[in-house]
Amino acid sequence: MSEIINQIKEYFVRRGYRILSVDEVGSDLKPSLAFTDGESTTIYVKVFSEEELSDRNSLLDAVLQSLRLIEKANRVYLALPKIYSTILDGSILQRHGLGLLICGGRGVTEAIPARQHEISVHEGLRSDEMKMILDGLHELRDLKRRVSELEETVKMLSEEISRLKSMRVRVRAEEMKSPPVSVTIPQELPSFFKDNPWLEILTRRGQERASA
Amino acid sequence: MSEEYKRRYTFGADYGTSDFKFGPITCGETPEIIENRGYFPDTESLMYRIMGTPKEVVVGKEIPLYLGSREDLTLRMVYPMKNGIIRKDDERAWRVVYEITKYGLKSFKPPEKEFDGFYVVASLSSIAPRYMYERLFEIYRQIDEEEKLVKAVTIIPQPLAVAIAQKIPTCVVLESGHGNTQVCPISRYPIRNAVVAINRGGGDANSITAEILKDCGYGDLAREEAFVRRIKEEIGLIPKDLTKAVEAAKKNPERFRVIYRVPNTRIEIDLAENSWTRFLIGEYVFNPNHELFHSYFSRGMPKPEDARIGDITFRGMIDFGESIIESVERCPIELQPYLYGQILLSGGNFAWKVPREFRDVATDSALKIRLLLEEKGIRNAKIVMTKDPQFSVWRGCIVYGYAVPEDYEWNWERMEGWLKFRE
Repeated sequence: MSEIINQIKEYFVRRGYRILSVDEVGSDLKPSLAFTDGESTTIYVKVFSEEELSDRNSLLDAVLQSLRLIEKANRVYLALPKIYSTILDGSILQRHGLGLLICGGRGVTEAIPARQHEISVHEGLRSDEMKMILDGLHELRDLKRRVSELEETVKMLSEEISRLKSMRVRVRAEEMKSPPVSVTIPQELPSFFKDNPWLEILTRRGQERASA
Repeated sequence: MSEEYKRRYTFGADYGTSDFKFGPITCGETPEIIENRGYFPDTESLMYRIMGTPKEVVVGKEIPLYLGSREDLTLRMVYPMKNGIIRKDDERAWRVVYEITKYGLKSFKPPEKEFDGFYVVASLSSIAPRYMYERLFEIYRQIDEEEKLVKAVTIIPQPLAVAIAQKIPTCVVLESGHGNTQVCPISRYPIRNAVVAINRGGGDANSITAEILKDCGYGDLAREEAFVRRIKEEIGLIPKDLTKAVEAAKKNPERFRVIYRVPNTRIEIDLAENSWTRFLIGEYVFNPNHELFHSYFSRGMPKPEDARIGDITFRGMIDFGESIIESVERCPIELQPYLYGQILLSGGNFAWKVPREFRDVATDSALKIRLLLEEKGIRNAKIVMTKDPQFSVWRGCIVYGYAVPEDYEWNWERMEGWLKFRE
């Protein structure tokens, strides 16, 4: 079961989603996993293992439980072991907008994409929860403003460094044919970017041919 | 703004013979991998009806859900890349390329509103002819029309991507796969008219392993290619000098004797007094010209022939050392020492075991190439194996896509730049 949970987490995280703690879900009806794109979309996934699906009734129960979640999230998926996907009529799930993830073997397959539902932000929230969200939004707005200021500062510094670099290169190397290119490498880039001389070579593509 | 966009939406697509490796820069160190193949399902099958997805071609991880009988496989399963090339008129192969490309891009379609398509860097074999570039661009144009997933696309040769991932701007890349081997010098650009293609790869080492097994009385097992490949990997050795290694092994057969038990079976392979033949397996890949191979050719084992595919001649019998020299000597003299100074070995065909106890006579791929070059008067060559060879090409694609300026337009003469389908 934990392997399936990890596969599903990896599947959504690699597609740009962030994991939400299920405890944060303000509802008595909880999914197995929850994700958000950080903006307007929330995804709930209800996972069922082979042990939980001992007969046809338990499979039906799993589908019904997942359908109830549709009111709480924008997209809802039912995650089943591969073997159960073959006995489920996909068209029924499609009709209700429920997505199907098939798990096991070589990973997760999105057999049926979930339909996007609009949900009310207020639905199922208590007033203290609403207040917490609003406080959070204020903090976010404040952070956004501060990030913008920082971006401005970094941009100014970057331009200043580029200007200084080009001045130094002009003085020290008259024979240099093309202007220097500043390569900023954000820290989150993968390790194969680090100290890679191709970055400077490739950023000049087009310029060197034009100047030749 | 542009750099920030590319930092999120640069996409690499490596069309390898066996696997398709794909994913955006946000994948980090490793891409997604699916087999480079497509299945044309029987529309009458139960699974086909249950899933309710009327697809003509199935690709990716869904394939096992649709598989029919073993007999069906040969008819319905299509592996599009043969020796890195797809025939112009092989419509089923091109259909599979369209499907895996669309599958790859759609798998990572981001939810953000700002997303306006990926900067896609696709990578093909260095010997891929121009029509393959044209056809692949057409596929990306079609997918963008349907899904708005491609902001710009470019295609680079796989050896260039390897050199980028390994952070070496001037080098020779020797890429050896199952069916063939390519030698491609790089000096900030791939030097296309110096590429040497060889009609020999890991599959040929399998062929001689099968002959050896037949000679040792295991003819029935030699028919199963997967089994033969496993035996090759377990017992094959690269000799420093074939004549000396065979002499040592014949003098002391017990030292080199190998008994291989296939796990979870009763099958046991014992080459006994023929254990000296282990050295033939490794040597054949690097140099099939030794007189010991003649008896195999005369008994019917196909000799690697020169083959012409498109405008490229794949050389059959040239040894790897000679092929590097031939390729480097097509480059400017001034550049040649730098090229010999960095020779990169890439691809599964260079992964050979060197048991500690045989280090006096056996060696690894890098030293073998150095010895072949030394025989021909090239000294001080530096040969290195690529790190994580499986992911090198994809990583090179990602760096290329991130760094090449977005206003650099595709040019057919230079074979580089971005092709855009929208304003």
